[in-house]
Amino acid sequence: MKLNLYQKYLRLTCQEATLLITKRQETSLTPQEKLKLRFHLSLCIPCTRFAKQMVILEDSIARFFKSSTNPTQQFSAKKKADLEKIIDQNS
Amino acid sequence: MMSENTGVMKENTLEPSLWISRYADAMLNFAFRRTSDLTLSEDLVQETFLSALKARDNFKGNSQEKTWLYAILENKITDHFRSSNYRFQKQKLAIDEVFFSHYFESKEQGGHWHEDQKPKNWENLAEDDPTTDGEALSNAIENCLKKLPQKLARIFILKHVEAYNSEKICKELDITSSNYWVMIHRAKLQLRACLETNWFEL
Repeated sequence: MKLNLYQKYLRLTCQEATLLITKRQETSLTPQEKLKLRFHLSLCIPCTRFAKQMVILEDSIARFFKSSTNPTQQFSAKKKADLEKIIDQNS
Repeated sequence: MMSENTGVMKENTLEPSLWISRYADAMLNFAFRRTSDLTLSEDLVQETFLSALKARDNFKGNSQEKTWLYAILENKITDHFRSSNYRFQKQKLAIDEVFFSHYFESKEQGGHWHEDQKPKNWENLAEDDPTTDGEALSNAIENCLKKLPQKLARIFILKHVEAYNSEKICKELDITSSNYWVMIHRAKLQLRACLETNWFEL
């Protein structure tokens, strides 16, 4: 009986648990999902690490995109001259 | 009042001969951040200028020249991602079962992580490795993002460059919200594994 309750209400595979971790980051979990995930994480070291790493990852991705706002690409002088010509001809 | 009006008029006229020096590089960066493809970005900027010249009679002067040109460029970028050409080119993603079986045992087997895919303890690794500063991590992220299938990478660009919320991303990519979690999740699993091998085990 106890095992059945566990199967029904608390059992999560690592695959399901990691998906809930992603969902938690993007939006929120239902109370039942929260309970299941907390229970799973209390027993599972790899998924606990995964959860911590997802915080670092999310942070690093955001920082990466922020830092890449600095202009880095330029037209070559030749391309610019070509473009000037095209605009001139079509003006 | 009069002088104010003429001032506005003057500001909002088109000066094509100055477009290259004023906008070309900035527009190239704008396109590049959204497509990660330099040649394509150059083409899109060129097409933008040509379309703008063709449509110059439609320029009412309600907006700034710059705003008007960027609006055209944005449309070009959107058109590119919606074009049949792009849809045809992009790789098909493996179905979920196949993808997840790379990381996890089947449910019947218990659904745990495969032994060689279990996340390692990053804290210990980071302490041992003097190269794990912000720059190294940023480079590793860049490399790992490049390895993602285009379809997944596009989600991150929409989220972080365009600052779209999940609802808008789903609309843009024509996917359901549960589809969206799974795609983000796949991208993150892949990125995490890539970082662990490329950043920590240099």
